Amino acid sequence: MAEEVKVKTCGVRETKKLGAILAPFLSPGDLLILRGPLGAGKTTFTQGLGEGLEAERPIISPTFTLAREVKVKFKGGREGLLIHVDAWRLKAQGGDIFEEFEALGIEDDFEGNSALVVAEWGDGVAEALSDRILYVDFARDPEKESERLISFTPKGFRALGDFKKKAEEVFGNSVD
Amino acid sequence: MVLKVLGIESSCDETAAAVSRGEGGKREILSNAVASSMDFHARFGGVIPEIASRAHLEAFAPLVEKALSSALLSLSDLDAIAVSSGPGLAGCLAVGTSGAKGLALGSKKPLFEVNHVVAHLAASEGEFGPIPDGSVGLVVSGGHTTLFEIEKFPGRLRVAGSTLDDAAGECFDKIGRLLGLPYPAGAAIDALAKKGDPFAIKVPQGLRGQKDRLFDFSFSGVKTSVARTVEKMREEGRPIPVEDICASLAESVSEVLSRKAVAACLAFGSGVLVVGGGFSANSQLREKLKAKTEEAGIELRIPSLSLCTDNGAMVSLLGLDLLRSGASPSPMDASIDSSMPLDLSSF
Repeated sequence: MAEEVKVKTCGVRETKKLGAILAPFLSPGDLLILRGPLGAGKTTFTQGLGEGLEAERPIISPTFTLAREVKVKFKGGREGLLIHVDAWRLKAQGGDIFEEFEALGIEDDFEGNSALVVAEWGDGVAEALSDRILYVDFARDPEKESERLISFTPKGFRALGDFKKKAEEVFGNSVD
Repeated sequence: MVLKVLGIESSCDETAAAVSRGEGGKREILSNAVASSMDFHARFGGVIPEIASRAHLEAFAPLVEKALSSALLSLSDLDAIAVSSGPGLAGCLAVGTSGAKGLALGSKKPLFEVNHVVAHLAASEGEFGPIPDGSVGLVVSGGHTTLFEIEKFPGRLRVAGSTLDDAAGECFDKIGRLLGLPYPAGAAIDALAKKGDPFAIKVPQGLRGQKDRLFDFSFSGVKTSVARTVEKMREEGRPIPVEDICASLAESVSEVLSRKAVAACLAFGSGVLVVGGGFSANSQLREKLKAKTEEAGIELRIPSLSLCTDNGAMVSLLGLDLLRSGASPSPMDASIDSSMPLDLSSF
């Protein structure tokens, strides 16, 4: 089992950069579940992932359409999709994520195992999508306006290799 | 020549059908029927695609009949049928486009699949007439915030800027959720804002004055800032001044939208600003747009509230423009595009 990683970022640029640093460690079929309050940096972090994965168009909020697909390049140049989901409404409704993917017309892309799914507010509903889950928790510091504590907790996820080392190189030692 | 077009809209939660009539530079909306599945969605704080698709399916045929009968027309009297085929929710778009194709095939009328966001601009034509060449367009809603440079409507438009994160309406909905207001939060925030102090709380204006992003928007920082303010007050056990928060939020968002829209008009040498989309029903935005365009000597074309939110008239008006411009009808195998691009390539 891979270990937990904790990183402190300061400002939108750093939160984005952390996403870009994680990007090369991700593969199609992976599921990232982002948790944290409104405005904690979940979409910003996903924008960084998009940059790191050379997304063909910018990542913007998926809230209105529930999910947005964007073409990306995974490590080694393998082409695939990033499916960016806002699961808040599904959670409120207790809905079935597979049914909603079907209604949105994105089930085939996901079942073809060519997509990385990043689900905001996804805990409790998105887990059904994959056995390889990486939880990413965002916490705001009430005292410091731009600071965020971002923790990565793997569940059935492979080891993240040098991710911890790389993140520490950029953001200093993680706090435990 | 007098032309009559049926327009069908089903990209999100509203199912709508309308007939418009055009003769030369004159436009008239003959009927405008709308059914919304919003009552279902309100319970869940947002649109549920599956529920919306089913609601569209049930509403489609009765609405088309209503639009035709209110216009005192039958299918055979029409010159064309237009339908939104994107951007929007795939399952919802599929209902409208399939239905429209069926009607077009059955009645042997040409079909025009149109861009929903561009149709929001066409809505103004129902009250102001055709959009002049060289106008600037602003579409602002729960899903979109985009500025267009219009060379010639509807064939030649260019996206001058758009939101880099949340749409303006979405920012209101999310803050509404935080404040415990009903979904969608636009109307509630609008009403509360009228009673509050717009300068009580500091709310940032995303990308204001950023030179390389002159016509782009960002509302993510607005959301974060308001969320922090509210959380802090809650932690300190202070009462939440909901009216002041709504007023300050509306002030910030309407200021940046109207400022950038007018700046675009000045930059592109445009004398007309066309506005559309559900968020343009917001009264603070309407007031600011009015004041700023008057000051700059720009004509403001912002339609009545019923033409701001999703409706069929805007689709029929855009269909009329396409028919008049001699555009080729869409092939019957044309597919929907839930993330249809907004640039000129859309036609």
